[in-house]
Amino acid sequence: MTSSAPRAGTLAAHEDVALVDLVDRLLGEGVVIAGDITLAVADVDLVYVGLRALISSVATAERMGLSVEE
Amino acid sequence: MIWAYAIVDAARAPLPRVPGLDGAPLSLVHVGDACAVVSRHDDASPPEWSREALLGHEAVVEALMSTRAVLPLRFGTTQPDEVALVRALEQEHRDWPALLERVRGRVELAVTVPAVDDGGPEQQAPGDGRRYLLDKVARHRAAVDAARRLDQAMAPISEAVNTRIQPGDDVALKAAYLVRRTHAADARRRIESAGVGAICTGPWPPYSFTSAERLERMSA
Repeated sequence: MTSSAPRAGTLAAHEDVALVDLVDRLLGEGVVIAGDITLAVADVDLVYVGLRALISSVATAERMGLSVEE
Repeated sequence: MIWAYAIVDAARAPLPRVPGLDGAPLSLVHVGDACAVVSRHDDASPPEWSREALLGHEAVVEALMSTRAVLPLRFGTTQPDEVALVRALEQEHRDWPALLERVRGRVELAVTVPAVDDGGPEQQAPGDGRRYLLDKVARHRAAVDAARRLDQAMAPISEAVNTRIQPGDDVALKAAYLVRRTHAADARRRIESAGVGAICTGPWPPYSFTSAERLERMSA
């Protein structure tokens, strides 16, 4: 962390944001072609909840860009 | 049934050694001058979209991105066979090689600007309609201003941006910036020091920049 390190509590917020950013991209962006499966909104909510526990793993956090420096 | 992860250039670089969904090996399907990266599955129904599947799909796309230009396909892209996949991709009438060149060596930085917690319109005294509307207008203006400040901070290195102004209780705006991979750390610093309380994640594959139209957008 640099001198501009976020306040205590911000890191948790970062993790939440990274999770939402990931699912937003996987399910809401990217190239769409005919024949895709689509998830109902309720299903998408479950995906967010299901991923929540996983994000605390270091490897996952790193892959989601949570490391401060490259 | 085949599961498709991304469109990549037709380079001879070997595919990364990461497994596809359910451990299935990755392979290439040629689509004109580009390729789709797929895995083959015996069952007719797609693999469950479990969290493992979501993260597995993402792991494949990110591994691909380290050696090739990548246009990610949306999670859940399946086709019965190669012929159907090629037909579906060709029907898009997008110039895949040109789009791939445009995102080569680029990454996406995601930006979230949280809403300022001012109590929110919903917590005002009921029946105060005028105050409610004024607050909504103020929130929208603040979000637009934040977008402008972010764009200014990113102007020297941003190649494209997609901004969604969505002033709500939690989030004021979301944006995605396309930058050279070598500028990713600089982009993060610029975003986080733009003075708008932005939270930055990434670098991501260029999920938000998969069409010519989206690659041309430069300002909020």
